Amino acid sequence: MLKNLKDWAKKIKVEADRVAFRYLKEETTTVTTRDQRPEDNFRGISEGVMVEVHKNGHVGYAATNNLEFESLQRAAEKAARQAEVLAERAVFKSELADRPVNKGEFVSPGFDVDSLSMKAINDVLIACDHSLKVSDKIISTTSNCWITDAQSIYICSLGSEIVQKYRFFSTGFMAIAQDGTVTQKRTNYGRNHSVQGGFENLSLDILKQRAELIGEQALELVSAEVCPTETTNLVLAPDQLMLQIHESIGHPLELDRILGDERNYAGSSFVRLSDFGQLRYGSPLMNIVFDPEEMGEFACYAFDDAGKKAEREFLIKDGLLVRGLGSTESIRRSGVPGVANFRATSWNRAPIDRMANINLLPGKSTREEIFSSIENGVYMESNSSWSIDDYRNKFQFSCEYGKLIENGKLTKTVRNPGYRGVTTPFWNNLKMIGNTDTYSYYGTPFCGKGEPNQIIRVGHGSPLCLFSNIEVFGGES
Amino acid sequence: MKKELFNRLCSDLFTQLSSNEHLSLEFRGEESFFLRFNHGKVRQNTEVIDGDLYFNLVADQRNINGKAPVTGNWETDAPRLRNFLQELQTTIKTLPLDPMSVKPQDFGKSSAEIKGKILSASEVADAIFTEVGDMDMTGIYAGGTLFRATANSVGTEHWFAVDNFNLDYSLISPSEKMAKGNFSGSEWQQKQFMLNRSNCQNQLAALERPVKKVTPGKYMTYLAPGAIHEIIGLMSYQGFSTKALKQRQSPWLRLVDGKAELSPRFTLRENFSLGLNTPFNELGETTQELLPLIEKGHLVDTLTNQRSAKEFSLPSNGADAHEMLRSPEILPGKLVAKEALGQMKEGLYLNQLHYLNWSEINAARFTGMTRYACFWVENGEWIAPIENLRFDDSVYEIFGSKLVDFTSQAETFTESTTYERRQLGGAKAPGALISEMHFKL
Repeated sequence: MLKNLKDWAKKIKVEADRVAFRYLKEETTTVTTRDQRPEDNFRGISEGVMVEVHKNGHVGYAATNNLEFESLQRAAEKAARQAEVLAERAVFKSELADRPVNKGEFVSPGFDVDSLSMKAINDVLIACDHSLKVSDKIISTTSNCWITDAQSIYICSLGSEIVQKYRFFSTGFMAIAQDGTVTQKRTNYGRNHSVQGGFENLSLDILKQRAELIGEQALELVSAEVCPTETTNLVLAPDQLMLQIHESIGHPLELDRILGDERNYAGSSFVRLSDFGQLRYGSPLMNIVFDPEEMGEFACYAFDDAGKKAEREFLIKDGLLVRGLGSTESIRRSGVPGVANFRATSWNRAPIDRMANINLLPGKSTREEIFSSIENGVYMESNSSWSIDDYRNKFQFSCEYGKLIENGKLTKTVRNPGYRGVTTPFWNNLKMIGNTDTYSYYGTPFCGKGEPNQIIRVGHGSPLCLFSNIEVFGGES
Repeated sequence: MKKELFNRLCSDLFTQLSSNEHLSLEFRGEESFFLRFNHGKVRQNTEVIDGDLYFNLVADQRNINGKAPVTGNWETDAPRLRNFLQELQTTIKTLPLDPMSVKPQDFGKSSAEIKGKILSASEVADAIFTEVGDMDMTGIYAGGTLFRATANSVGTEHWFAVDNFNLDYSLISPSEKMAKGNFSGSEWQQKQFMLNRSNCQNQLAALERPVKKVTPGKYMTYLAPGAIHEIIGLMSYQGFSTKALKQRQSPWLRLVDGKAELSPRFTLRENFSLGLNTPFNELGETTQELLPLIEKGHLVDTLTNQRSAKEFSLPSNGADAHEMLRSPEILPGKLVAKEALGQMKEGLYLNQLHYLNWSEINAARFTGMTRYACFWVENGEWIAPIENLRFDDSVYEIFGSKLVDFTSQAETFTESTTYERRQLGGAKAPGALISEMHFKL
């Protein structure tokens, strides 16, 4: 395909300052089993090209899944026509420098190194279903595996030539337990465990162990007390902090939200452009990085869809906000330092500012030091419910699994734990941050944003963290 | 994509089947133009031609699903789709038995093409921006032709194509107050858009008063149809799924267990006569035009697809694979909207809600935020716009013990989401007066 695209780029006839092709092919296999039998076996292909034409200081986009030269020629003509007629109404003037010239390749761990038949995946997942069902009180078990091999090629008439190949790998489990009228659900870190990598992620022994723990914890939850409602110390596990980082740090730092692009859909941000370099976002323990270079984490890549080289950058340093999540276009529009995060969900969407891997760096405290410092508090794992306002201030999150912390020790399990707060007071209440032994990263393929709508893959790493003075609550059931 | 080509591709694939194999096919496609704008000017513009053929192959009690691109060109599509089917045929033989697999049935034939007048890229920009002037407007226009079609190896054939557009926008004041507007149809009428924009702008004027910070607590609340529409959207997610109810992950568990009640004023049904969605699902199975789900507070049905029907020994009612609402309607009540305000000595008037999620699904508890034009009310008058508030409440209260009534007028909302592609669907919702709603933050 690279050769075809290069040939077509030479042949294409359109009057423009720049023409680019962004090709994407994704081949997906998903297998879901429920109660030890197949629930869904799916094989899907998506393939197409976005043609991008820069003319009169504006960019026109036209996408097609017909990979014939004539189709791309027509798409280029449409994109050029859009740029011509809409340039004078554009919210900002595009510049050729918004698409830096780069050449390079990226290959994620696991890409094209191994494969497993759909039958073999079924066998593993059915075995995991068995492991989830630790008791007759487990009324339903579900296991799933989602593998996508993706290849993107970006060719730009300014000289860029970028090939990136990925294998995205997700595994998920769910056990539903019932005791009388109480029903509880426990999953794999809140939904799925998503990484870049190969079939080592489908290791039967490891997954069965994980599935058995999920089944046991579901069982534990149906006989647990409801989480108390009080203002107290809160310790969050990395699989919940993933969501906390995503919603209350990632989204509000997206420059396109701050510039107003998202106000009709995903929302705006409480962060102002003048806050960069000024705002005390959280406690001095807090260091947040944009890190597309963390190999294996779900949103690794070497170049974004503008062709910009992707590198690790501090967003928040010692609690101070220093950099936004915006790529070349947003950096120029805002005057704020940014990152390489101009990304499209697929070949049929124009790129916008997205998160990639946004990670909270580990500190120095051991797990024991964190828990032993707490007289009274609650520990929570794995997100089950999430909601935040359109300026990313007032949030409420619930978790699947909680434990009371009493006199420095984890004691009773509690069900339906939740907490609510406001973004910057919450992060300024960060009191202790775990060391590398407590650090893990997770990912999700379901970050939604943009008009037209786009979901995209993101990753978030975090250590165990202690927050003080947090409003926690339990449920009714 | 032309209907004739779709039928030809399907026929070609059906000839590749062995006698033990059964195939259902669904085509989803679009030829669309997206114009995204911010500050009343163009942010991004994209034309998309896209189409996918979805496969459901059943053989010897095994089942496999698939998706492959379709371009509308026979020479390109036919060999690629044959190869893809062959891959599924090879794989399915290796899979474990799936006792819930369902062979396709003949669900009949239908064909509908709704022609409209869709504006070109430059015409869209003229039509919107000339009217908006220098106002701060943010949102998206999405328009073009949408295709949905199904066929199976035992004779089902449904074809649906519609020219339509959806303009989803916000008007924003200099002090960042926002009002929501939506304008949709199959033919752009500039005068109607002027009226639509004008109604939206009128809300902005009321928002320019000083903002009131309302302390968390319990308040009488009027939920406008836009807010009720958001709640219907949440209820669609696991709310009426037979599978979710059987797995005891449903807001109606307490209702079924006799431990909670809904108001006799609450009736919700699927209503395909609204013309918002196709009456056939991805397997080509048609649904009755009116499907009552909650009638006068009683759960009378849930959404059951073919797999659930087999698993739980229930009749299928044509639900889709996810058993989600496709064309829901809450029936109006007797309350006149203006009089609802008059009943409030003190309380909240909420035009829209944002980011709803089940906070505890088995208790039907959900949380979310206020958004857009929301007001503090005293003695039946809007006094001041409010700072955003978070609520956490139960459906059993809002549509149960605390429901005063629904309004007599309902509004129709067309689906504006565009994940993967422009979507069909929508909902019809009245407003509602709630005697007490719980605000937490």
